[in-house]
Amino acid sequence: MKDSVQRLNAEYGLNLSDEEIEVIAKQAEAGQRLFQTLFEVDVEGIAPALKIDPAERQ
Amino acid sequence: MNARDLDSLTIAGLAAEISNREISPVEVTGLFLERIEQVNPTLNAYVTVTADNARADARKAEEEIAHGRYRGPLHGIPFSIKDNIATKGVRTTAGSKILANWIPDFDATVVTKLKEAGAVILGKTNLHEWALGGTTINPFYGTTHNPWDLTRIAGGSSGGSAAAVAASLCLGSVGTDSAQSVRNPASMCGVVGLKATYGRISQHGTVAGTGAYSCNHTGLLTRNVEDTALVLEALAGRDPNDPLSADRPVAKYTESIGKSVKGLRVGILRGYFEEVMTREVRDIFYAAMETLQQLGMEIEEVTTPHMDLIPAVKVCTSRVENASAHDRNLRARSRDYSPPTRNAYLAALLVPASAYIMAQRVRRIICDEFHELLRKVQILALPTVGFAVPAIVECEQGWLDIDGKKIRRQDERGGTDSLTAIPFNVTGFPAMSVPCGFAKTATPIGMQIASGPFQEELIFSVAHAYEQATDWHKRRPPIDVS
Repeated sequence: MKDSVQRLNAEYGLNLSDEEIEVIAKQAEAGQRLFQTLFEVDVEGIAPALKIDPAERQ
Repeated sequence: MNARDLDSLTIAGLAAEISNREISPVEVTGLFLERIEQVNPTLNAYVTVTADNARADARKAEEEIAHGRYRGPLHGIPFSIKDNIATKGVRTTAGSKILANWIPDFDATVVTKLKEAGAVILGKTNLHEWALGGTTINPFYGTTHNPWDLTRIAGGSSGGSAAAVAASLCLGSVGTDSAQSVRNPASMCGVVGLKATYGRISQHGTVAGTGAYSCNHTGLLTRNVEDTALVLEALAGRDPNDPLSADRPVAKYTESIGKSVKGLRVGILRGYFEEVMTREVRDIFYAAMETLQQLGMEIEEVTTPHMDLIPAVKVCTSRVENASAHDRNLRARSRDYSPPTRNAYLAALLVPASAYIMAQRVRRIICDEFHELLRKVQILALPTVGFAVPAIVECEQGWLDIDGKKIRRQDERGGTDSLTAIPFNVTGFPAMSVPCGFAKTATPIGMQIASGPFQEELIFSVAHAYEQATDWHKRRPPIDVS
């Protein structure tokens, strides 16, 4: 994840310190662990709930 | 009328007196502005006070009413607006350094509607930086203090709005709620906070990046349930400028007030959030449920199979949608964010698209399960926040005490204070926070009353019945204005 933050740092011209890169990488990793639980759900046949759906607005 | 009388005012009560010309909007506005001058330096509820505009609007209202052109129950009523909602000609900061000098050339639709209804706008209220948090400890505009205890937070992100309503610095406020941001501060400051159904109130003019597109709602804060009904009637409705607004007729919400609630089935929502709920909050909430039972409602406990996944869906959705709105500023002005806010947005840029889509697929399952719940019960209830109002210093240190257990105030699931509120941001169901008691710290506790999409009328009936059976909403914070 640190590599990804470093790439972001370069692409966005952020001038992040090593310490800042570390903090952001840890935060992103924690998020990934949380989101991993979503991939364990059986979503066969389930379409995403998008608020642009007319049905969502009725 | 004097400054002390402001504590007992409500929108409905004042509207009657204004329409009868017993009270002048100019006099009322003057008293509120005087009180803001006295109290705001301590509370920091307002970041901008628009005294001249307010006086001019009040004079106009007075003239119109004198000439028989009474516009309705918001005519001449003093309001505030959260500072992430665009106001033409008035600085709109979103609690950020980046927008510190932004003066919009348009009004948000809700502001236009308030003005059309004749409301008097007193100013703009403080919020968490970019509305991304629940404390209103703002590094650029200062901390908003809780009127019940100045050492404690006002909640957030609409902390300034809730503090202003509680401390009689306005009678109503318009905020936004993407995770908790109207209901949480309403609970912590002892006022009523409504997040209506997704799309019920236009979001046109809410600053992009102050709430995820698909989770954010314009919300209302007032002192009692009837006042909220009056404001919702004025502000709800389809807006051609907001493609996500709902094309549904606006009900006469005030007609729900006083309707029988006997036989309604209430489901106490159980789930993951109980791990951050203190015994004190639980006891106060269950006492409120007993009151609902005494009013003739049937109570049962309910949950859904995928309840535990709500934080993952919410955080993934919010981060990705919010980060997209901040992309340009992150490239050009990343140092103008506070480090925690900037870091959160940067981490969000690394969330894979597949995770976002998966979150929306799971979200549909969760929404279907909530619809299924509504076949068993008509109302859902749970505490608004799981614990009593924390001290500012605790929030700054990042730790909370939950019955002797030290827990982080913020973890990968977001703010612990938001965990009870987010089910209704993920589903878009309407939810209202009403005061339901006081903690031993003498600060307010709130409970949420929720229902299915566009079932606000049911919420108003239940919340009002509860309010009439209790007196929590009549209590006012001990603010010295002598």
